Amino acid sequence: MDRNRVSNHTTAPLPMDLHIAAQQLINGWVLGSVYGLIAVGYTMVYGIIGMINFAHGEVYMLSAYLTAIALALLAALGVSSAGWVIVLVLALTVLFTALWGWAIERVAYRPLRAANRLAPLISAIGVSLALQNYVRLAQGARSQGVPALLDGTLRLGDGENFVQITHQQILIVVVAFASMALLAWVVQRTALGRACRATQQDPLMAQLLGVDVDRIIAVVFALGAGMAAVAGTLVTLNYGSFDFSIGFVTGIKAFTAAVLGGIGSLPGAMLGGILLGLAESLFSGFVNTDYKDVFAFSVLILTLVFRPSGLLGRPEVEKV
Amino acid sequence: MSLLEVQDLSMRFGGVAALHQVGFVVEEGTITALIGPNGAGKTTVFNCVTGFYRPHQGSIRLHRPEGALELTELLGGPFRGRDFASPGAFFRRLKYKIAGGSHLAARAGVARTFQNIRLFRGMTVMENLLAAQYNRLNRHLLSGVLGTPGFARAEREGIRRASAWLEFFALLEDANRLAGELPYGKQRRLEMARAMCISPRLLCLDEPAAGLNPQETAELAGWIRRLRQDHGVTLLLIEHDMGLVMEISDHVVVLDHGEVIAAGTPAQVRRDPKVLTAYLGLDEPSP
Repeated sequence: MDRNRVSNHTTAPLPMDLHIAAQQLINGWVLGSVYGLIAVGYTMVYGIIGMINFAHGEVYMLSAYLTAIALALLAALGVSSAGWVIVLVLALTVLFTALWGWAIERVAYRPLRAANRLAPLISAIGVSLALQNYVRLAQGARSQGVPALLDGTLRLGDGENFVQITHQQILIVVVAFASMALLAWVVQRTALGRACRATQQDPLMAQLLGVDVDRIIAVVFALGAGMAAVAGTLVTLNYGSFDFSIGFVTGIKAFTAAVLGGIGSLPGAMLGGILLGLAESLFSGFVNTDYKDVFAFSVLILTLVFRPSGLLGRPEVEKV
Repeated sequence: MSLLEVQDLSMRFGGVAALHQVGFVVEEGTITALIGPNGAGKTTVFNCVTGFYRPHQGSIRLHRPEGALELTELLGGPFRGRDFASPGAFFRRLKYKIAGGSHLAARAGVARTFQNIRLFRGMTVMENLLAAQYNRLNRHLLSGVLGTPGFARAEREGIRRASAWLEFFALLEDANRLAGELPYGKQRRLEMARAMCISPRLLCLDEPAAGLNPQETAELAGWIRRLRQDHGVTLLLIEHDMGLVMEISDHVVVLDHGEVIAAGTPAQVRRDPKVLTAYLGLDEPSP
């Protein structure tokens, strides 16, 4: 058995190889950080207007393309130090993806705010299809690629029994946690975040206290899109390839993570993301890679059946 | 001088006329009570005054030192014929169509509380008061993240103002508790404190004494008086506790079936035959 190929076992090795388990935990943690970043967008939007933004996966997909554009732009400007490239690409991608998130809310959801709950949902599916096809036509259906920026690897262990983590993966975990910490800070400690929480709890009352609720909702969409953009940039820099359809499955997986953690709960989205990433990784390492998506969505169904409010969500309380 | 001038206010829900040509005036620095049987339209008046409903007809003017503001326009209604007669009216209509909303009534200085208390229950008492000062605080994302001196100063100022109101309503020791955990009486006070944090010219209280025991009601009367005397707030309140109404109001407006049937001092209103009919359900006023 080729022990270096750690991600493609299709049979369960017995006795359990510890280093393989450790490797899958690392991979799962990296994957889970990405899910968590995207899940934040679902959970914040749900928390504030009670709607599932099914176009959120497409926002993530857009951010991959914006990353490639930003990389090309920086190369043309002659920025070559990897550190600066990473910082600037992140900043540019987050900014422009946030603008996309803001624009989608303004065009597709705000006019439907007074309509029944189904209308924005259908609008979201429409936005999702429109964005996919727009990108397919504008950028081509073929898979696109960007060159790797960091190619170092950290290897622990000796001979055949080792675990490895690439510098790219370290970057993903570190940046993901830093951005989540930043978001938590914004929500908990700033005047803007306070207004977001107030609007989430009682939009009418917030309005009567002078909070411009429309603006807060737009900000929430922009923040969620920005977090998805962090994920999109990190994943694109890591894997190098993407196409117009990557948003769908990743988006639904992140949605699963949000439901698992408790939709509406910010720490829940992060926890759900990590748990789903770990579970999926361990499953594909020890059971079957081909069925990992089936497994992930089974988690969604089981959560909805047995614990609809998720791990950290509060059960729905009927408003008086 | 009048602070609030309501004229010819009409509001229909479906085919039901909730308000019919309601008109009254709230003088600056007074306590005005809006009374009437259940379903008389009191809360609908409140919802119009606070910019939450757009009435079908009529005007609600808030007279401020910097000029009168028509509260019914804030929600951005459809264009009307007379909007095309003057550019000022036209652009005002256009502005509120684009960026209108209930929050503008609060920014203009109208605050309200609710009969069924609406606190941000999952936030602390202090956060409730800070959320109400949203327009005064530094709400830029970056300055909040970076903790700029401007942000810190605005937050300190906000906390200072909030503490002053907590002290006023004897809630200071509860500042860090969750609002939803407070006992009922304190929740009522917190709602008033929060409304005061937007520094309103006009404070609208919807049944502030509902659910309070006689002692708490007496304390409430004291606070309402002090709000007017020490802080120059004008109050408009809906109340069913007639003892409280007669004790603290300068002016009473009586609504029945969506129409104003009487207005005057508490003593005048109490003797008004139409009021007695409305409340006691007599067919003819007794001679």
